[in-house]
Amino acid sequence: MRARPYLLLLPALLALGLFAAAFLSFVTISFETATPGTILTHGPPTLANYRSVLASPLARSTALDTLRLAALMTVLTAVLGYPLAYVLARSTSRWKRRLVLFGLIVTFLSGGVTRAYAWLIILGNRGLINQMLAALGLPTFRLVHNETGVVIGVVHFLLPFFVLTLLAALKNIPLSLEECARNLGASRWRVFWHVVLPLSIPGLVSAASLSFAGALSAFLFPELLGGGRVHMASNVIFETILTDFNLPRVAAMAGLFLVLALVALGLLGALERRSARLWAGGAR
Amino acid sequence: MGADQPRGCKLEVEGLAKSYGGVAAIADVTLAVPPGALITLLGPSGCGKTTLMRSIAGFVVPDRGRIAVDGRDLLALPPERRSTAMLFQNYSLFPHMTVEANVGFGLRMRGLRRAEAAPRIADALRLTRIAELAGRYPGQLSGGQQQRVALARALVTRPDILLLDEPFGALDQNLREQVQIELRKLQQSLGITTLVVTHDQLEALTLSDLVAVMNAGRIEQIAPPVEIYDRPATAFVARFMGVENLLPVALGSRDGATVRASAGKLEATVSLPREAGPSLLAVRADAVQLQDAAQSGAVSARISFATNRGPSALYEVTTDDGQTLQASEERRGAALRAVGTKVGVRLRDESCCLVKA
Repeated sequence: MRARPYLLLLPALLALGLFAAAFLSFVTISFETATPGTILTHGPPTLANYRSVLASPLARSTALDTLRLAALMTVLTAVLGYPLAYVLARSTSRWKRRLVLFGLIVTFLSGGVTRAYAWLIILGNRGLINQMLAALGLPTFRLVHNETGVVIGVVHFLLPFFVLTLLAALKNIPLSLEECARNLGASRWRVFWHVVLPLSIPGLVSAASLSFAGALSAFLFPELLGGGRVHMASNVIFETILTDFNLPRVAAMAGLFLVLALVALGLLGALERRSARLWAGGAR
Repeated sequence: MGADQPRGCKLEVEGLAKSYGGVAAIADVTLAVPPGALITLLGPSGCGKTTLMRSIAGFVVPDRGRIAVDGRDLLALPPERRSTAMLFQNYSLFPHMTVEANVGFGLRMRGLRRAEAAPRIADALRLTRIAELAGRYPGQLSGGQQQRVALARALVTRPDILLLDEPFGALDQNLREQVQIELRKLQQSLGITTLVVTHDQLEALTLSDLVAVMNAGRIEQIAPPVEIYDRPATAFVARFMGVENLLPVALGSRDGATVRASAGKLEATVSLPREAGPSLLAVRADAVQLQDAAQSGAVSARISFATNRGPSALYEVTTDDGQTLQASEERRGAALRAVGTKVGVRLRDESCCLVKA
């Protein structure tokens, strides 16, 4: 019977259906009006929520802040993560590789809240770093309850995703290409610049896209390390639900942020495909 | 490559050793390659030939020993400062660069300006007959074309030593023979000292001025190809060069530089062994002469297996005193001798030699 294989799809379809239904009701709500004093909503369909969100200075600044911070976090993750991925891919020292992998896996497996509080202990005004600076007679810095703290927390969260994604791409670059380049007179640094980096660009872009998506949807770290001063999309959506109690408007806001994120990720995806064509496969 | 073609350099390796975790990859290797010569490192996988080549290129740091080019020590230099050019087994073309950029890479890394590099790139492309491919990417080339690009890229830097790692392994048989001859001609006309790693004895014989047969990290014999083929020094070399029969022998009376060697009833007059110690008689199948039975002076035997190898027939014969050996014979259009037929066996003196057991 031809029907049988499709039966296996049933659980997945059910889950997808539920997800789609939830999403659909969320979209529907964004076109309705809140009934004051309740969480209920009613028709008729209106664009008022969208107009209101688009006109809101908070929503606009949040969108810009979110994109700016996510871009910054992605760049920092890439700068910090690339060397780690390279060590994992190429180091001949098993200890070096184990150390890096251990550090990443610990980050990966420890819970977000635990890590956020750990960062508070390290970065706080009376935290480890500032106590050390003070003991040395140096000026202290505000490292948390601001963007710095959020960026540190999120970059730490993103690193394993970035490194493990890039690692796969780096491992696909044959070692003989690097040896060949050195044989032709390139120093280690120029081998990296002329061979490894260009060939890793498709992998780098996919690792960066993943990090960027993670940064865009960051909620926990901005919430716990931002001290209420850092407005990223998820936090603002969450806070608006609590303060406005206006579900249709929040739905419209979330929908607009989602569209923005999808556009940004779509652009990165296009870049990824283009770079893959340009760099890895020659002109095909 | 015009007036300033690479002059041949002398390559010397002395007492080189490298072990990995207590296992010797190469043990005490010494060899000298005269300027402009092509030497082949021949041996089965794991014999240390690749480790030796990679030591010369600088990718393996030997435990001890010395490598020198024209008397200058090489080991102190990192790979990028050695003037060796290596052709990698899989060609290792940079996939993100055009053929032209690939070939020009070594010149760019050596700081040549575009105007200086361009004519040299063009020369190298012409020399390897791929000028029309300059703008293509490696992904658009056939295996043979890729190999030419890799060769052009290696030659354009005018290296002192050219290193070729299994250079024809990825080519199909017909193309391989043609390219081998072409490469040999090119190498001779450039006069560039070249070291080739291969496990294919025919390739080694076709290409080389010198063949070094390696086994378990050591050089078993280093000699011109004809000598390696005709007079292998050891049983290992003989077997690797395709000698079918290695017979235990008793040595009889000496006469000047020759000695009478007898393997059972079979006898041959051969040159004295180069070294003392137990010897085997190496007899190629085509040195075993088969005669119709009952001729005098031949050892009587019986055909125990027969098969045909194109122009020749290959037999297994068993002598009356119980020795089994392989013999080949040109067919000249005749049918194979039947299994069970009685024959007389005789060894051709000039095609037999004593090897170290």
